[in-house]
Amino acid sequence: MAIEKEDWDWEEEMVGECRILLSNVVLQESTNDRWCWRLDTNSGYSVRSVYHLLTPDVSQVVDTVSDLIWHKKVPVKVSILAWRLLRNRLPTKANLVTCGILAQEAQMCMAGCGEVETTQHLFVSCRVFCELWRVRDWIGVFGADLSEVAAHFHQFTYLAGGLINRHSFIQLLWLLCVWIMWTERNNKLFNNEVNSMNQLLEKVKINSYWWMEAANAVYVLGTHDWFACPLACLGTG
Amino acid sequence: MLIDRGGLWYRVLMARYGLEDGVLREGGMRASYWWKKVGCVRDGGRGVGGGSFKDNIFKKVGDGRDTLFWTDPWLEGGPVAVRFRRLYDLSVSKNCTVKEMFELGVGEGGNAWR
Repeated sequence: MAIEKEDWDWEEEMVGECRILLSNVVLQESTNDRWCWRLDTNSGYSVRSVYHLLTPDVSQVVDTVSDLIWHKKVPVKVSILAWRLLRNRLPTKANLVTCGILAQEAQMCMAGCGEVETTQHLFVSCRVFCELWRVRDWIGVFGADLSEVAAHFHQFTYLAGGLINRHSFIQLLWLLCVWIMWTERNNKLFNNEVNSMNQLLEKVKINSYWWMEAANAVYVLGTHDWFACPLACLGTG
Repeated sequence: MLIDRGGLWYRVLMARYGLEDGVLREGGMRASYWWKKVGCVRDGGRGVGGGSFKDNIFKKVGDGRDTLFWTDPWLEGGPVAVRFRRLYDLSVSKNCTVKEMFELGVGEGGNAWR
């Protein structure tokens, strides 16, 4: 006798339900019971599968934009910044609060926009810092600012169509822009220096010129033409 | 811990902590620090990834000889004891294996439910 006898309909109902569930089960006399690991039923438990379970965001970023981070004409320090940025490993105020380094009250964005300084806020949604994405006007392409960093990078890079030179240049511009935003944020925070948005745009233009020139990729002398129409100077206008 | 049940270390842990619902007992306050931590990983305590081990294992039943009917996760949707809590509370044979329950008869008029 497995269950003490009690004449309650409710339990009868449960037994019925359980019975239906069990009616599909057929025991296999020839095989033993064994434990299985749901994430990989063939080869069993692995540290790798748990790592992926616990860090879905990292693998997703790695899939979509990891190749875009590294660029021959971009200084390694800039690529490393982007690498940390896409993994949300920059010491933004929100991240420092999470680590218990900053107090909760000190997590507002430097721009005075009243929002919390998260990675996502600083680089793709702050209405002050993200004015810098107007850099699109300079190269004559159009696009909206997506609200997720990796998606923003991906979309930006493919704005100018498939031509390899253009594509590569715009990719460089994105990396340069996040570099400039981060250094500007640090200047503001630690040195109390503020650049106007136009000064920042000038910085993007001149720095991209230097990087391209250093790689012998510019076909004009001087920066005048470059400032006016960079794509033409690259021979891809 | 679940598979290598003939191993020396399993037998040591069984002697030290005993079994509960077919698995090694966590041991409570008197357990060693190390064993408590292992228990946390197994049962999903506080902290990052809590429950990620327990929620991702299940028992594939063959002859049903080595699977506890009530408490092992061998059916989709979790252990029978959790889904049919009331029946488990009433059951006088909480440590029956799947095989034993089927031998008693789980169908209409079977002895398993009497």
